[in-house]
Amino acid sequence: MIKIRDLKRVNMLKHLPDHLLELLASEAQLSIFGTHTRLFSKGEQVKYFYMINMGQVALKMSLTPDVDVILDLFQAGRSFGSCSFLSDGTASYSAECEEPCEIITLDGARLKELFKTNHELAFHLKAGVARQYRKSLDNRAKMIMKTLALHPEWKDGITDINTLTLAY
Amino acid sequence: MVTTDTLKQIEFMKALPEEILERIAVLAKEFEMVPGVTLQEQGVRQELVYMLIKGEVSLNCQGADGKILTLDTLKAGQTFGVSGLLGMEGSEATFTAVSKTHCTFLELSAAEMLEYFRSDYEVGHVLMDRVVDIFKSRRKLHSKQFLESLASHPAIASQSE
Repeated sequence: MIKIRDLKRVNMLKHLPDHLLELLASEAQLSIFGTHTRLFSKGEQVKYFYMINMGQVALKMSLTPDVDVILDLFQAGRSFGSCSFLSDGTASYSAECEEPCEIITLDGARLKELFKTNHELAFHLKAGVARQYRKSLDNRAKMIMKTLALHPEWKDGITDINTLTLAY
Repeated sequence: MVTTDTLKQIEFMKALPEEILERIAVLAKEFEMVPGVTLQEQGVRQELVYMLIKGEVSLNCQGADGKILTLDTLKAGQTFGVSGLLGMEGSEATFTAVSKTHCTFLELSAAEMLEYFRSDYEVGHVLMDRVVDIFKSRRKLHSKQFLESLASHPAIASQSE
């Protein structure tokens, strides 16, 4: 059984009040996955929202049939698969366990059901997703600005910077 | 007073149900701005959501080398400052917004909006859906561009030939 103290370790849930954490705890499951388990693949419908309790998960995309790019490595406290409870549930990357993992899962379809009557839960979870997106856009913007400061000559060759960076 | 028809000119708002627009219209203020005015400074907390009715706004960013780069120019119908609605620590703007031409705006106080969301989560979650959509589509686009750039790198491109 999941306790609310387990959920409080999840970064995305740290703004949630206790009564909502209680509700989520009653719906959550704890699962163990072995190394190299593919949790979902790019293009698939994502069924669960995943919150890592222990272990490491790689978020990947295929660049060519032979080359995979790791977009991020997530450890304890990080979460992914939020598209399972958003309107478009299609995965934009693949998620694979890099080592044995203990992961708390929430069924996306069940969350959508709860959202119909519990708007407070819907608001807090969606705000959590927006904060995650904003953070990752900010990090990317900082990296691009840092790189351009190191290589100012690259600025002339960039034509699409307006679509690359800001979270406004 | 701001009307719902004015709000419907804004991309961020136009798909919202009429009753929600009516409630937001009460909180919105309309104002005009001459060219060259700084509306939001980089590194300063975002406290206002701006919706552009007329004119253009430049979003500039100062790099580590101190040089200023214009990253985007917003036109009528576009919004900036929605990050203020997330009520997060460290929600300082990553850009400076300056009116490029004579502009007409709608302005919403992020704090007032958050207070309103807490009194009516139905509206709050509908608007938060829109914020998620904006950020998600930008992130998706960015990942796509990153992968395309990487795929065209000579070391990768030669491998797939």
